[in-house]
Amino acid sequence: MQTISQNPKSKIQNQTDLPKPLAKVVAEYYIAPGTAIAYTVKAGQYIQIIDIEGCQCSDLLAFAGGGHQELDSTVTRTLNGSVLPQPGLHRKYFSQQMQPLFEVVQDTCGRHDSFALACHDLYYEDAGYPGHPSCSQNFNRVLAPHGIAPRPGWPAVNFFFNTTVTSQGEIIAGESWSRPGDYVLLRASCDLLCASSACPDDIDPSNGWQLTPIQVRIYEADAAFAWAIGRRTSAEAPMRLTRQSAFTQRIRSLTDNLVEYNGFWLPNSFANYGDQAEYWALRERAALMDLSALRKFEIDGPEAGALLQFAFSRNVAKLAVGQSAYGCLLSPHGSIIDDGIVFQLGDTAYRYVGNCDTDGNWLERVAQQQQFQAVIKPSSDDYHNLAIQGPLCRDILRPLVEFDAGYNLTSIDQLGYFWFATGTVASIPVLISRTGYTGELGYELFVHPSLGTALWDTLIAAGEAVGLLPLGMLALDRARIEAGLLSPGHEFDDLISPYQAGIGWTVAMKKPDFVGKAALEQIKTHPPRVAIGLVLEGNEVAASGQYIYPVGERWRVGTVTSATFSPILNRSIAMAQVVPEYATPGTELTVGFVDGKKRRVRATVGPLAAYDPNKSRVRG
Amino acid sequence: MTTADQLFIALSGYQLWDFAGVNGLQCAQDLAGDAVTKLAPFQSLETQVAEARCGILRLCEGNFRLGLQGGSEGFERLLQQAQVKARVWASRSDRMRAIAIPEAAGLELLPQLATTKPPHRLIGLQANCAVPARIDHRSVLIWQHPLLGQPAFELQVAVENMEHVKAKLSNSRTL
Repeated sequence: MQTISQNPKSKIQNQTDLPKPLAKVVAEYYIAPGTAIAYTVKAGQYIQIIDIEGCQCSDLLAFAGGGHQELDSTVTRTLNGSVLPQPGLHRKYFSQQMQPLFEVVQDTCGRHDSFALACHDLYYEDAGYPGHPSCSQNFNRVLAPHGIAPRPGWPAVNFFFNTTVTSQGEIIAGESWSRPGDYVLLRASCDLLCASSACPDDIDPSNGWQLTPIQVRIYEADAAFAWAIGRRTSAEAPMRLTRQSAFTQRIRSLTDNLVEYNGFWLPNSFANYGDQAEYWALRERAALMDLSALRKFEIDGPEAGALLQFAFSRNVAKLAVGQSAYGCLLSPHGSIIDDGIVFQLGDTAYRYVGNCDTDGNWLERVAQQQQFQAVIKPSSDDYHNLAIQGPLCRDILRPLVEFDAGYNLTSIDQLGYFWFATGTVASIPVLISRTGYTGELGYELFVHPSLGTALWDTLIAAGEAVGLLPLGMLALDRARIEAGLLSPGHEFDDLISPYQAGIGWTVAMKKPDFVGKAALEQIKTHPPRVAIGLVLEGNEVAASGQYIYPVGERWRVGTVTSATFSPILNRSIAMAQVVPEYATPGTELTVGFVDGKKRRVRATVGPLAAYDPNKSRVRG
Repeated sequence: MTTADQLFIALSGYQLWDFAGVNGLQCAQDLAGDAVTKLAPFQSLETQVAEARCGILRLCEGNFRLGLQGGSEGFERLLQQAQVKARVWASRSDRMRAIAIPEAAGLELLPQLATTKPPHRLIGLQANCAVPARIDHRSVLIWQHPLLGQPAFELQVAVENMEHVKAKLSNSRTL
């Protein structure tokens, strides 16, 4: 019988189409489309599972102790407290005996499945495809020679299989997120018998309706790989692995609790200290934090100022050289593309510091559309930055800082709020900016990465006498919520206007024209929601996404965007966005806890910044 | 060098108390003052509660453990008062016991015997800090803080594992 396949044969016909090995390969396996293989790895060896052409799932089984221990996704999810292990602190896959079998070292896809079985005969039979090959049957076949008894369905980790659990508890599967060359790199924690598949499912979108091969490479245990997660910041951007900042080496010596944030490894908290201890160092003394994950762009040219005047919400024309302004990049429909700070470095030279790699692309596009003579150059790799914040930070910096001539500054005391200057800290060249993200007096120091370690060491040593501590993300989040400072993804995104996010004051509406002006004129009169601060009754801490209701009513008027317990106020506080009719200070509302119905906690509307709403500390 | 018998600090009358709940921090404040608000999880301070010396260890946002040196009557009275206005449970621990060894012995023995899981670190553990660990597969909370006026490591162990952990420490000391 002649069969006509609508699926073209694999494009990978020879090894030259494969991504380059990451290290010296000790074994390599090609898994033909729709098949599976079994292979062994020694403790410490690395397993790279490559989706050669993209959109192809590869299920993995692992056995240790002669088959007595096997991968257990329920144990893995429970011990990690997450749906999937990821490179970093929660990176291990466990057996049913709670022993680590392997860990994720690198992952360039980020979407896999840990809930479903490897595809099995019953799935295909129920869908009307009796006799269709399945990963589970393929596994049975390749594991039989190793003495592993067959099963109708194998609980595997299903790499590149795109599933998610909805709020209703459904497990939804869809087309794989993986692109050609995406891979997971695993490290065996013990000697393992593994089985990997190139999934034969062509009856749904999981593999893009087209079966392709998988490549498995084994690297020796002495190969050195950094933990990293691959991210793409836009559809066309290349995948980039998690980076270390100029300060990460020093930070790693002080903590193992690092998380991936915006493409960098950043500390959550520090050993021997922790969230509250670091927070109090910030509020009472001084704290040092790594803000290198911010993205920097140099904007130069005769119309650099005009470009920013058009794309950025603030009136940039009012800035002087050495001055900076907080605001946002706007979309044509009046939403926030990103928030950030514009620094005026010279008459025709500016720096934009924001959160996204794509900010530069957007500025370039606006420049082209409006025919502004301006060149945008990413400079994130040239400047890493520390923030030193807290009431005593100026005292720490005072003896260390010398400003360059031309700024007319002889002391750090003369550097005003939202002003900056170049100079040195203990002879290390820096740009010092009187800015921060904590609600305290503070400075940010931009330094070339090659001098980052020296700057970190200098500041830690100088601050020791007054009790300066390094500060992690947990304490920073607590502080920024108290100070009413926005976090991307919580308080704003590209569907939220500055008026909703609580930074309407950054929109210079008197400018003759700027991106989004027409839309913002409409939104300003009655934003769909406005930002407020809430002080809750009692000590329970609200959570992002919880709904807000009028007292005694069933209908919602808003949502909590961020919440914390404020140690300095000794109150549970939240940032929220509510319909304008319920935003008047003093209004009593309720926050829905548990399922939103079981318990409502009263809360009083106040300023967005519960702590120091007049900003006297940052200006002090 | 001390012998195995001399290894352990006698903790007669020492009591472990736990309390936790939505108002756990406020309850701790009532008992030990505002300084407790500055503790992060696994940090502790030494204080006096109702004339009894005690160490107070924060375990989570609203979870605390007290190591009481001396009678507990006054403490229990204060705790009851604090509980009246707070959503917390409190109980004297009957599931675990404390073993204590002098700081020098701990610095020698614990790095050899105890393992921790990241992000917890035993090496470099500072005074008034604790770390969950395992000794010979048994769960132990290692807490470095002063006991009976001397720097010490307190090891909190499930009752059924106490003799095993003590033996492990003793045997390691005499080897």
